[in-house]
Amino acid sequence: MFRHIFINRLKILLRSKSAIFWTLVFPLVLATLFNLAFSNLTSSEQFQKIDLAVVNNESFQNEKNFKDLIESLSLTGDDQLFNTKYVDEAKAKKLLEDGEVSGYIIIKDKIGVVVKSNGVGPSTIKNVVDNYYQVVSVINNISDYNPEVIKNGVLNKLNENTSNFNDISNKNIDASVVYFYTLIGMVCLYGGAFGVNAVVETEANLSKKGARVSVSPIHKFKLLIASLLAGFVIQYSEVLILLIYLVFILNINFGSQIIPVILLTFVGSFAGISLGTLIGVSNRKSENMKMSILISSTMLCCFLAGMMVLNMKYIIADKMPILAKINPVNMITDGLYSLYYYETFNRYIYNVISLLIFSLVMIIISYHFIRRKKYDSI
Amino acid sequence: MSNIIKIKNLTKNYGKFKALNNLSFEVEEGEILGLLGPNGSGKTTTINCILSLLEFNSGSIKISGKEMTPDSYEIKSKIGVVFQDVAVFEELTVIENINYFCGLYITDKKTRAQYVEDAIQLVGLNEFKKFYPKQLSGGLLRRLNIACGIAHKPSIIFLDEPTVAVDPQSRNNILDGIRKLNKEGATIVYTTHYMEEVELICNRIIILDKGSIIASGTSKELKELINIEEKVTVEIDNLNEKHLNEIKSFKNVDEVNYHDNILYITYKKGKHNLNDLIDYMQEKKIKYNKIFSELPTLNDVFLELTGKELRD
Repeated sequence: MFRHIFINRLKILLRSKSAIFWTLVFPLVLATLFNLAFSNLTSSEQFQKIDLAVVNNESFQNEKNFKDLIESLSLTGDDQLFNTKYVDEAKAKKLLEDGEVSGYIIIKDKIGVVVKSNGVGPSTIKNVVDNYYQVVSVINNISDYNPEVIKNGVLNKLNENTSNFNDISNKNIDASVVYFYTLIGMVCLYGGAFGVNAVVETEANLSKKGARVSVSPIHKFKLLIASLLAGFVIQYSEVLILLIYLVFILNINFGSQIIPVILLTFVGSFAGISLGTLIGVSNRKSENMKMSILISSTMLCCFLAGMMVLNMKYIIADKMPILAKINPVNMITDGLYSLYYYETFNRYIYNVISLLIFSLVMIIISYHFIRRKKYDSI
Repeated sequence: MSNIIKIKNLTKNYGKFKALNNLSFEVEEGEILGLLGPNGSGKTTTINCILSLLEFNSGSIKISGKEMTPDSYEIKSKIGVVFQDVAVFEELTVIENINYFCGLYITDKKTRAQYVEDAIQLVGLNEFKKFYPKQLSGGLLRRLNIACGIAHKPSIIFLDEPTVAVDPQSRNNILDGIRKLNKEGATIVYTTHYMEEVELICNRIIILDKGSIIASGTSKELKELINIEEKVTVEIDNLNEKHLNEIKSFKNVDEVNYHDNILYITYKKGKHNLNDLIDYMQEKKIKYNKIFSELPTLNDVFLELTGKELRD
């Protein structure tokens, strides 16, 4: 029985031209357009050095460790992070006003960062200063409580770390990959269309087909799981097709670890189907209206994850971090980006777990609606 | 014959609106029971409550002696339902649609293939097996809808207005199919607002209005409930007030109306009504063109019991 429902649902979904267009053809076309649009941009954007001004006052000269750090990050070479100009305060202000630098550093009582806007440059400058402060704080704590450590040379190692900002990252950074990652996030969430459809055609109060199958001697959950599984198989196959297209045809860089990418998209597709299930079951609007809700919420998530404006991702992370944390497209994009950018898995695992929690929440709320066996009206 | 369905004191409210008001009736095994009533009378609500799709406020529903619940899978396996709206998959062909819905009841592939063929034959869709629903006319689509509901050879079938907006050829085909299913042993509950259909195929009729049963019985029994024997219509060019009053005073006459050169007379019980009228017109040298006599219909029954037309 399960097999009968599953195979027929596969047949129904595969023959649904509009569903296949929006979940497979449209993303492939969009990926091609992205590739055309960013092909010229890519070469010029291969990690742009950040323009920085430093107020070269007495305090800066006295803060020897910090001065060394800035100088080491400004050394010409592959690892160069900053194009640094050492100027007085007035000049630094002028450079920032004119947009010639992303921000400037000024040391008075403590190290201050002045920026005008959000984005990769200002965020990086702030990160460098924050990181420096963290290391200094660790050193102070250690020297306060265990001065012996200083003699063992631990501080030298910590000091070395302050100049290693770039060491864990991929050397050839291409910012445009984020657009393709959000595209994968979009396709994962578009899979929600299969969730909406499965629910609508199973619930008696949502469609006549739902009523027809509800009077059959099949348990509702069996019907629903078979339908959702068929939707998931198609959805995930489409994601894999898109991945193959991006990797082998458009040569988009996903880093060197393809298995975690496949795992992340698997969890992302699951999140998409879960979201669709909730949208499908939580209201009595028409199927078209539910699809509109799914598509518009997906596009909003994509926008907030940086699909249309790359900086949006950083603005949201900075101004409304909670929104970034609950946005499934951002979780997928950030997970893929962390695989591409970092050689460690911490951030990737964090995003996979976030997606699983997101899916679980969607399923628990959906279950609340689905467990009804009779309806007040149909 | 035993009662296969027993409904007792079924009440369903939508807020303050009583959709079903203390409804009680039984369906005998092997009969075709017609639920007749105008739109909004509670026919579909009754069926949806019986099928455990709708919650109801009070009452009990038993099928084959067992309480009907959403988890009554054994009872559900014996039931076939044809809903008023067509519910088929646009992406599947005629044969695939029937096979899919039949497959929810019949697991054995070989048996299912035979059942699907039988259903196609029954509704006369043999030439359209490979057609997609969008390629079918409204009537053929309704036939497909029926085939999907009855392909698993259920012993109890609910048909909810299966002939709405159907061409005469398809309607006859559908009604023939229903009679055939009944001959093969199926008990049928048939809802409609077409009185001619229930008179044609139903053994027993329940007339519903505003969620209550207002009458039940065979077609003959229902017509005997009212005081009308026959209705006579005569086309007359000129009829004066005096003649009209004389006709009104005839034996058995219940009501007389004359407008647009047509005389309408409703007779209560009695014999030789038409003869007396013709004799009178000849005697008075009243020229008439056409004359018709018809027996009372279920609409007349409904009209007399509720004061309104069945199709209002």
